[in-house]
Amino acid sequence: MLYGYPEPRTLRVHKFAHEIHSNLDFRKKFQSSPDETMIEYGLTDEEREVVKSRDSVRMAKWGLTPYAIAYIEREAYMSHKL
Amino acid sequence: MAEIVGAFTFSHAPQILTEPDFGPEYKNQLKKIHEGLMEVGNRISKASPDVVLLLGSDHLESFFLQNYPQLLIFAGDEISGTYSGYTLKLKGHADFARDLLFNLVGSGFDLSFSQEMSLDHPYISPMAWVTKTTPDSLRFIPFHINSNVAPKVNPSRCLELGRAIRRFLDGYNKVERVVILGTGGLSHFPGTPRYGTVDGEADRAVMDIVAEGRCTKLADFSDEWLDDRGEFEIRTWMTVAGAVGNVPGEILAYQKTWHCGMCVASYDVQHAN
Repeated sequence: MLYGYPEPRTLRVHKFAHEIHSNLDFRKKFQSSPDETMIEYGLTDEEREVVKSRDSVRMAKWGLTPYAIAYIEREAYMSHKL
Repeated sequence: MAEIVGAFTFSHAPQILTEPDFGPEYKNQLKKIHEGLMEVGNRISKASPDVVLLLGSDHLESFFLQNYPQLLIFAGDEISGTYSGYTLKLKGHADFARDLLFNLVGSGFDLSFSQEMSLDHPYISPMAWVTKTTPDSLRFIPFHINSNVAPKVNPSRCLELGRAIRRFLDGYNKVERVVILGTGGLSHFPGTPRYGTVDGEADRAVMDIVAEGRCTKLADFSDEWLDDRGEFEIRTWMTVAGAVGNVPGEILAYQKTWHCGMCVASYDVQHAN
């Protein structure tokens, strides 16, 4: 399933990804100290591992939408918009 | 009776606006898309519409998971949004939007509406170019058709929505001239392992249908086919097809970039009215 339903357990990571996408200061903060930023944001161990995996298949199977995945894969770690 | 005096569909990839440096070939590809979009603006200007219906699809930007609409019409007086440092401001047409909203709800389409929302890249990216060649006085009604977040609007429902819009226009006499635009497509796979591939064969199938004047056939593609081929965003094209019917189309530009098949299409609406 390339374009799955956003599973409820992913809500916090969806919000995190949205913040990465829409808030340049937050994105820069994440890029300079990803672990600290995710902990401050309140992501659980499991959620942080999903983000850090940068693995689109894993993220999709976990229930993230492609846009949250893209915001994490391409904007959090690669410093440019979609 | 309000007449459809222009109909166009085109891609809305963010890169159309952000113009990342992916080399000279890519730059040239974007230039051709920009020229196509500005030609759309020229044609809109010549058509001199009272209002422009602007069909797009949110990507979890304008809307989020606290309340995600399948169909939503903007019914306010003005709207704006900023993407990648570029701000687009559009005049709305609240009276027309309200009348269309009531009509569509009355005919079975349970639209949401907004009088305050922010535009994002599905509108800003292409319209930054289209509006370079349109007058500032032009009035727009953004209209969200969920093409990106599962479950998406059923293709046949997109077509029927266009037909319902057409029936409304046929019986409406408060404006005379309407242009309808659809943004999205063609093949691309954002946020998936297939990002960076483009299904050129599927793009050709879509463009052939448009060029051959069979655009209502776009709604025959299944949800699964659209996802598998990266063509899920042509739902807005289906709604345009429902509004104009099977009129001849013209591909003003097509570029198969490394990440997205980008296309600009025009419809011969002389045959639509």
